Amino acid sequence: MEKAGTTPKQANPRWQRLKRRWYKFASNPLSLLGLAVVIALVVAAAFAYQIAPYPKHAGLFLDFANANQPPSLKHLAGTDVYGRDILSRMLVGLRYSLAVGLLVLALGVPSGVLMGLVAGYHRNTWVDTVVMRFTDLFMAIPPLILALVVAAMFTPGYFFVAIGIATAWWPWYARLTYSLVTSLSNEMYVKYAELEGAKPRRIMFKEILPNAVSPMFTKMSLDMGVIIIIASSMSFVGLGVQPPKPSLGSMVSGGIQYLPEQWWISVFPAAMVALIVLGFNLLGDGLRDVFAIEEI
Amino acid sequence: MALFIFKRIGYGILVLFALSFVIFSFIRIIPGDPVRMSLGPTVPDEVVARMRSELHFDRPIPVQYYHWIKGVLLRGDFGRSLFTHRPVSQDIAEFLPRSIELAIFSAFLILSFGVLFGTISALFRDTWLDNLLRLFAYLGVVTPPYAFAILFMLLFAFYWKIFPLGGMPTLPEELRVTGMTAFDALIRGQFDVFGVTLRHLVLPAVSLSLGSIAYQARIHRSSMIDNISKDYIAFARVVGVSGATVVFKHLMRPSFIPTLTIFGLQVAALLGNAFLIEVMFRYPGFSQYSLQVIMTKDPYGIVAVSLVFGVIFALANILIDVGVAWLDPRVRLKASE
Amino acid sequence: MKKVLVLALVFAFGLGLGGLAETVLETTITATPEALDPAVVFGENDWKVLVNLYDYLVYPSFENASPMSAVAESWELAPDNKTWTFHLREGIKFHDGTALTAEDVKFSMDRMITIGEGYAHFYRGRVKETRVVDPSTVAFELSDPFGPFLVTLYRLGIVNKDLVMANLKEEGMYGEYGDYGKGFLLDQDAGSGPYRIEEFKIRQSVEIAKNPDYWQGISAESPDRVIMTQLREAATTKMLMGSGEIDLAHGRQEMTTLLSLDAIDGVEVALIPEMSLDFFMIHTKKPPTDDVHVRKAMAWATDYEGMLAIYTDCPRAYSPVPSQVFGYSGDLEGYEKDLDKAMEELKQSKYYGQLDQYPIDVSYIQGNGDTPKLCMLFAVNMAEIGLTVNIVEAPWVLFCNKEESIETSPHVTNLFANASYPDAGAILELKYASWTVGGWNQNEWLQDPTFDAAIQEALITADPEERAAKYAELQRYIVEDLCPSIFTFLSVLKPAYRADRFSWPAGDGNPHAIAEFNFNYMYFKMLS
Repeated sequence: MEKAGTTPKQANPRWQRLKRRWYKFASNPLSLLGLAVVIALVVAAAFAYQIAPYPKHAGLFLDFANANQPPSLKHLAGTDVYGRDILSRMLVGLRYSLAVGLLVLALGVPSGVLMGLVAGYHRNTWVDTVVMRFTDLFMAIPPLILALVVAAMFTPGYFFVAIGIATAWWPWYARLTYSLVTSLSNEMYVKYAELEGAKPRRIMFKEILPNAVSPMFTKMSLDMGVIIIIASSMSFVGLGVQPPKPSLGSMVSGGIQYLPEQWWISVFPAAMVALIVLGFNLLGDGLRDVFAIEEI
Repeated sequence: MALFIFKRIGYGILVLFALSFVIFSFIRIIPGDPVRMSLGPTVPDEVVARMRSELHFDRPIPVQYYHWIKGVLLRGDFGRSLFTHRPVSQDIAEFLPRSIELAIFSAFLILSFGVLFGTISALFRDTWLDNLLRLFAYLGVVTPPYAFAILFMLLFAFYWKIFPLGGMPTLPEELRVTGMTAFDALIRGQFDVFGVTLRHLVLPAVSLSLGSIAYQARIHRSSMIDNISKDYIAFARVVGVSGATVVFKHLMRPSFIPTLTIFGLQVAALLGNAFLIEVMFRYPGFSQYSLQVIMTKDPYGIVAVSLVFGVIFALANILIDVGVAWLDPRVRLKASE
Repeated sequence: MKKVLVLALVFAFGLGLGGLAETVLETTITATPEALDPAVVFGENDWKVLVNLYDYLVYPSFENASPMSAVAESWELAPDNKTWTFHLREGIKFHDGTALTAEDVKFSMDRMITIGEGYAHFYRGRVKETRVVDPSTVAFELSDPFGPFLVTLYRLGIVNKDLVMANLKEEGMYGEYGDYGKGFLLDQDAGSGPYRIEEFKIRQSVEIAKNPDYWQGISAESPDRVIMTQLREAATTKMLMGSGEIDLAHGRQEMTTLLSLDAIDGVEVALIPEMSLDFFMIHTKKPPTDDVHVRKAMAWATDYEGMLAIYTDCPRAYSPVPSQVFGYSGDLEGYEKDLDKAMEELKQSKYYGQLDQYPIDVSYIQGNGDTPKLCMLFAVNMAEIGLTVNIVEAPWVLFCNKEESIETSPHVTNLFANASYPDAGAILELKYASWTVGGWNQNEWLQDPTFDAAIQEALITADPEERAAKYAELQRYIVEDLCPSIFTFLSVLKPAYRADRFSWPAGDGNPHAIAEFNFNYMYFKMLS
């Protein structure tokens, strides 16, 4: 297919590449499963209040008479210590959990990657030193301190927990980008670009970055889960979504003490966390497999 | 190469100074009076003031920092913890070795099993074995460590009483060498004590490392797959180099680059993120100490704790960089330019 | 030959009897003490240990915490109501074998006042001088009469002066006294009590061992050693209780956990009332709760029965003073849930009609038993009268930060506050006097001059009946006029324990009136 006004050489490869990638992606049933799960989760989160059987239970609601009910037809995931339906709370909590993950990545990844690119390409100059030392400084601060300090400056809400985790997260991306860039800088195509006289910024964005994307995507999809797990660990010490709003993390941490008798209080939310992470992992792997073939 | 390491260490030390100053100042700037909190609301103001003065909290921050740094460098005195009421250096000497021991054990598990599973997965890519391993890896990454902790406690400590429920016996003073309980017992020849302490280590270490093993396996698999598709591997196969040689000689080295990077960071992170595991297994380690110190806003405690983490991260990073340089001849050549 | 045989038999038999294993009691606590120093500590967890290590001039009785002779055999108050003279018992020895004399008593009091921490505020500015009249007589001269003085002495642990002086550190805040032995007493004991300290690992565990030479005599059935481990984690507690590794769990478990513990074979739950109440402390200086009508409306809207269903076995409270404490006024009607009365009050408020513009923050400390449920119920109740509630769950350090200033304190906090000595003045002063603001005990920021003057007056009243009358008036003023707090219920400790391993007064339905004194292990009887 030729687009008017462009040379055939440029138009074809892009479109063909996209089609090829999709076929490659779709050929692996696991990847499709991952995509399906992620889409389902996003839809469920978006329409949580419509889908949930007891949407009011996700807000201020008490029914002690019905507390600690095991899973039944009436309450598919049972009820918690306040008598609230766990399934409904899981669906609403899904929103917050996804939001925390996205927020942390949205804040952390661009800043981290940028730092890593800049430092990596200007390696062995003062730019490299300053940026990487700055990265080291941040990485050396335990994420909990950072998150606590951030929360202490404002309130212990989940938004500031996200900022806190993002502040601790970006160095990992900077570091990973840096190592990748360092190795990739010696690849042939970069050398060619340099020989051609391309500017450093152009090289970084056009040549190096696209090839750094695939491990980046794998890491990002893996990270969704880890971030959600970290945020849930923060709930253990009281940082996160304020009650009565549900978040998967606070539901799991709140339910741990009721094991083994009232196992459903933490097991179901934990299973949902597992599902989220599973979905993103499968998706990420599918993407990664797609990009790997390109490198031949 | 030596110059490379030297430069890294030098920068590392600079970073530590900067870090300590930043945290030091930060803790004193954010709202809340730790002295008042530790003494309680009924204590009269002049008593609080007296204690603040004793701890130098009423001086300007650079002056406080100067006193503190002087103490650290000359006497190894990190100040007094408001949380344990003891010198912080004593707390560190007690808690840190135990966490290091747990981390070493976990690190060993992560590297060996992570690389093992990752390699098998990559080599038998898309077969049932790969898919099975990937499934387990998924479950590992996806399950929070505290969930594993509960699971293992229920299974192996409560129902089948193979491992103890938690805690860690302390060695009597005479036996103590490094503070790492199992290690000390071993080098002192107390093999039965060693056995007991080792058993106390298993459940916490496994709970802690399962997620990381899974993560490590995936990264290693991913990077091996990246490299499998590289030209020189295809070339080696075409030329007739045996499969095993290809794997171990040509494939492993470059695949280790991302693996090592992640591994180093994971191990360093182990210490910080182990706090839930340490709390649940009542393991008297450094992570749960750090958590407490942070949650009670203990000024000297927090700075010392950050410094320790800083040193660990710095060391880990230096090792990673050295490791990467060693593994990737391209980087090494560039570095020595 | 026969003689030798008999001797050998007796010897073997004796060995068999004497070779009994020592009895160890394993318990859990919510937190280890901060220190073992009686002049520095002020918490329940500290006192649970210190009642075993130290002796006191007077000791509270089981039934109503009235003063019984302990270290002091007798005492008298001078006619001017300002000088208390105590005659000490002979023959009491400290753990290191030296005798307890009036010097030690004077030293303990002086030390507590000088250091100024812990419960020193009972005595600072009130005890003018302590005099050693003779080795077994000591006199305290107060600057003004102090009504509850006698019962505050339950908190004055008598320390071994010579031992402490021998272990001073030169560098310290107390001039010639150096650190006044604070470093030493951090983890060592200088006491004379029924138990001595074996090992103290702060934040981890405490181990104490029986003192066989205790002056009161100590029964062989009391545990030889007691190990207290800090353990808050519910799942682990259940497992350890089930496997028999712990004998006595701390009394602040969540309801669901407690039910699981109770279900274990051989485990029972003891009920120990504390001199402590659960308060909803309302900020009196922040809109909209600065309006007394709003506060009263809140008091009428609270579902007290619902809260009692959450904290079962706890008696309802109608006054800030716990009902078993001296000076409690039983005449107050207090509040019940009555939405009509609530709306009536609300309508008289200047904020009526604009309540949606004034959301209320209700805050509690994370990880504090079942208080989240109370706050949740409270939020639902307030919504019924049109008040918007934001729930704020904060970790302890952030909570305390907020309490330090009047602007950052939330509208309502939910906490237990307790009386440090069995007299109404303790809790009235702690909760409502202007000089106690800025801490977690008082979120009300009452700062009311009438109250301040009245409480000070009450405290210097030596005659018990007069004092009780003044307390009654203060309680009426608080409950009916000012309504700065909502009183829900009396706190009751519910420790689960293995009834097949040991028996104790609390377990037998005879708890000591002051909660911590139930953990004096000399009253425990190990079984089998």
